[in-house]
Amino acid sequence: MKRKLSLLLALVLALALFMTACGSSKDTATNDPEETEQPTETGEGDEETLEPPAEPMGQLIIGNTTEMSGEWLPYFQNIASDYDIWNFINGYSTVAITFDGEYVVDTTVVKDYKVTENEDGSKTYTWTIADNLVYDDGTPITAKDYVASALLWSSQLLGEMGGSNSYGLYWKGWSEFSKGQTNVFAGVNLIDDYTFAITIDASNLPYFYELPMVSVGPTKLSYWLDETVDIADDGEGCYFTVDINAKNPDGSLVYAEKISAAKSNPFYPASGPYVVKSFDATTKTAVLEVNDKYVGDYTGQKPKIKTIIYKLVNQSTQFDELATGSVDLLPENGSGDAINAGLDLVEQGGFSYSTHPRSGYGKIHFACDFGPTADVEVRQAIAHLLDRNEFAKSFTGGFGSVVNGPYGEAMWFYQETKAELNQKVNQYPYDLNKAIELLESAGWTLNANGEPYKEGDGVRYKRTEDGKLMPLIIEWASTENNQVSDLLVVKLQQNPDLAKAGIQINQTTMTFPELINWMYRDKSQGAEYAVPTYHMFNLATNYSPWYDLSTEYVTDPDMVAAGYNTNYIFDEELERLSKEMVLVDPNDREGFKRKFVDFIVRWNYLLPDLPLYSNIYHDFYNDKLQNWKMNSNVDVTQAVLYAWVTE
Amino acid sequence: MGKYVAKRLLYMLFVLAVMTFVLFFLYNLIPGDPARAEVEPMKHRLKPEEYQYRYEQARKRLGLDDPLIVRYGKWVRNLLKGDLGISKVYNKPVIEVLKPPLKVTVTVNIFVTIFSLGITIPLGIICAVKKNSKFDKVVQVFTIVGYSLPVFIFALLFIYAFAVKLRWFPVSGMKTPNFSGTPWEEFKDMMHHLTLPLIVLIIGSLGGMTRYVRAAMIDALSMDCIKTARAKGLSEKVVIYSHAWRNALLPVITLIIGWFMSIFSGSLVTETMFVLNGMGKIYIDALNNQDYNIALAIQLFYIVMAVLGNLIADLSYGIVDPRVRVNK
Repeated sequence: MKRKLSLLLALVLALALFMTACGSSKDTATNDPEETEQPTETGEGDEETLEPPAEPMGQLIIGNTTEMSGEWLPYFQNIASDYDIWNFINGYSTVAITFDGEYVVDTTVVKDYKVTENEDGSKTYTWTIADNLVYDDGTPITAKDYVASALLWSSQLLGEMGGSNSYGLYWKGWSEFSKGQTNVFAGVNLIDDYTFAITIDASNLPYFYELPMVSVGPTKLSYWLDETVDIADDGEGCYFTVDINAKNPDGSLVYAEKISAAKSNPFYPASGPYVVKSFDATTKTAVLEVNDKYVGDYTGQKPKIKTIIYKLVNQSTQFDELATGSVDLLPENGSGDAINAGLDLVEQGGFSYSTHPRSGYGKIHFACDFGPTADVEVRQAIAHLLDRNEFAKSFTGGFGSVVNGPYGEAMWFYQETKAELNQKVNQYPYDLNKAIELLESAGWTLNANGEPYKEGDGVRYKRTEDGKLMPLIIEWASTENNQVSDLLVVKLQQNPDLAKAGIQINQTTMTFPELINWMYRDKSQGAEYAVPTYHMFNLATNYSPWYDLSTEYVTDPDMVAAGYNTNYIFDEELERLSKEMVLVDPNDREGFKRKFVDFIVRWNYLLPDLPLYSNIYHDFYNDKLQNWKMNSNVDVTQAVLYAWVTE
Repeated sequence: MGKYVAKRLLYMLFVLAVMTFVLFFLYNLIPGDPARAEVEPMKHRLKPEEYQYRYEQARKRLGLDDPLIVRYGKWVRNLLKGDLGISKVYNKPVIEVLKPPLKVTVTVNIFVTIFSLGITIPLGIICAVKKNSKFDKVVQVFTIVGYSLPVFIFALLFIYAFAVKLRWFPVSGMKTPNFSGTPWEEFKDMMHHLTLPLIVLIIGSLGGMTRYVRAAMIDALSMDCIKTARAKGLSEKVVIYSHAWRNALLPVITLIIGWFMSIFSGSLVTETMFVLNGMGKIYIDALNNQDYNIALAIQLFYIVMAVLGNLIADLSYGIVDPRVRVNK
């Protein structure tokens, strides 16, 4: 027995050595590092590689630090990498976004369209789609597929399953349809095989971003429900011929199981440039092959890379993966450490990088309705007491910038108004004297005994309307394990000039959900949260090209109570400007820009937030990737469409 | 024996009931509003009344308006039906989310357990037999080093040496993307990817077990019965492997059974470093993302494994040593 055991152990060890030896053999890997390593010395590539191939070729492995779930449908979760795959396999929307962040009608998809202004103030877009569009399996795409998206992704069924059924929320009759109060979607009409109409509800007009409101893509209904479900229109709007909201005797939804099964299957019907070939849940890797039936994006661009592999990588070893050829592209690196590691690799040769500014920033978020931060001068004084350029440099390792308002630097309207804005906005340079001057102008002129404040008195005080003394002590809620918080402690809270100015900041560290409870003053989570307690929070925000802040600074008490305006800033001018900016005709670009500048100038004066840093994202890739042009207006899938690889 | 097992099983059920109660209440005491997290992404696009409607619907659907004790009752009822709830992050049943990581962890740990036990037991025995020899001293030094150094140091060093510099193995993953071949080729590809994490895990586990086996064997070798066996003229091999090892096995068996039960436990550091989608990684991700249904399910699973492991260990003592066999 013992001899047998010894023999078994010896065999196991021998097997391990054998596996190791076998494992290093090239025939087990189709993308062996030695095969993919490019000896190119510069990051520019050869002249001959600058020409795109006539047919899709090669393979691109994209490393991503966010895990994919394998369910690409974006209405049930918001995992960024899943959404990338969704965008790879879905195309043919009526409206596209350009690299400049502007919305345009996709003329590859739309053969003709008509805009009608209705008597009730609503507006109807009648789309006639091209007749050469098909799914990857060859099934023709018709108007019914577009109407299917409108109905299915706005249905009560989706909402009851825990999904977001807001697909058609700007359209007439969406509210009633999505709640199951009617089975007819009044704002969606099926006209013929290739024509359908979408009507924007009058309450949503006028609106600068009108085009994205009427953006619709195709959905293959037979995949998501079944062949028995059809769509009809008797002239009052579209409806399903079968009640998809129906329930079984036990209360469960009849079609829920079907939709769950369909969304769990990674092989959705594809209308986009790529088709999912495989998804491995154990390694979180998706393989996509080019959809040879795809006719192109809004410019007619078709993919030039045959195979895309989306692979999970670890932040600490991702550049080892790039160096060894396990991945070809690492997009959107924002931290200084990662960027420096990437630049080291570029220096060694064989690798390149491109940069683009983040459309968003890390910030101090003020509560502007109570305590010291209710005074705009206090918020401005804090801005003067934090060297934001130094902060951004420290946090991003020198790969970041400072913005002075709520915008992204790649936005077209910022680019076109940049010079004017730079003249009009306050940069809040580091200035102790200016900070003290601001505080004194706001009445922070007393010490703890109510006597005139003089240097060395510690915290400043101000006499409030009820005659009490209010100290200039700011309660700060910060999240745990947060590098921004750590840096804020050093650069702001422990800054000796802060004490000289008579300001004290007390930090309380908590989990993010708890911070959110305090910020929303959410009494449903506990009575204590309803009491305004914290004056500032450190958070981050991102902006999409659909730039609409009209509900961010509302003053209506009901909306504030519902969780809008988490800055609790009640400034009617700011509210008016944030709304006026988007309530313009979509063709009035100049009007939009003018109002954008007015809004930013007012915002910059009031400082509901103090932007701290905006990253400069770095995309690192090996030299086989050509024509990589990414920016924050588009997603990685759009950039891939215009790139190619050399093998 | 049967009565003893039945009693222990009843005790296990009691422990489980108490633990479900404690864990459920602890997790629900953590601040946070899953309903708000669900509807928040839609907030800026919805009108206030629509936002409120959807928020209230979400609270109702998630059962957040019920008192905690009612929610616990519903959760237990679903648990008994095999429904562990819905993952907040993935928005799909917890069981569906946990299946792939469990498969990865079990696959990796089977190899780790076999190799670790295959190395540590003979090594511990040899060290005990050759106590204070040069070989023993060298092994002691290496086991101390292996025991003391954090696993991630080994992981980083091995990745740098064998993946980046020598390029013998891939940096991460379990298989080559887009690779297809015969089952044997796929197995070889998997082993090629798993070699580095397996080596790291095995090295990380060698120190403790080797020293434990050595200590148990040294105790056993100093027993009177061993002296008697030697005095009877039995061969050294029989003395060591038949008499001494049998006596040393009693303390070691707890560890061995624990090791087998840990086949289902993930290694957070190794899985994260080598991007293996295992139980350790998903557990820490669930905690970081406040996906408490996942975290709760994993913890319950580990509690079941722990109490089951205890029972098996207790029964095994009787098999190894008849003096502690349970007859009632």
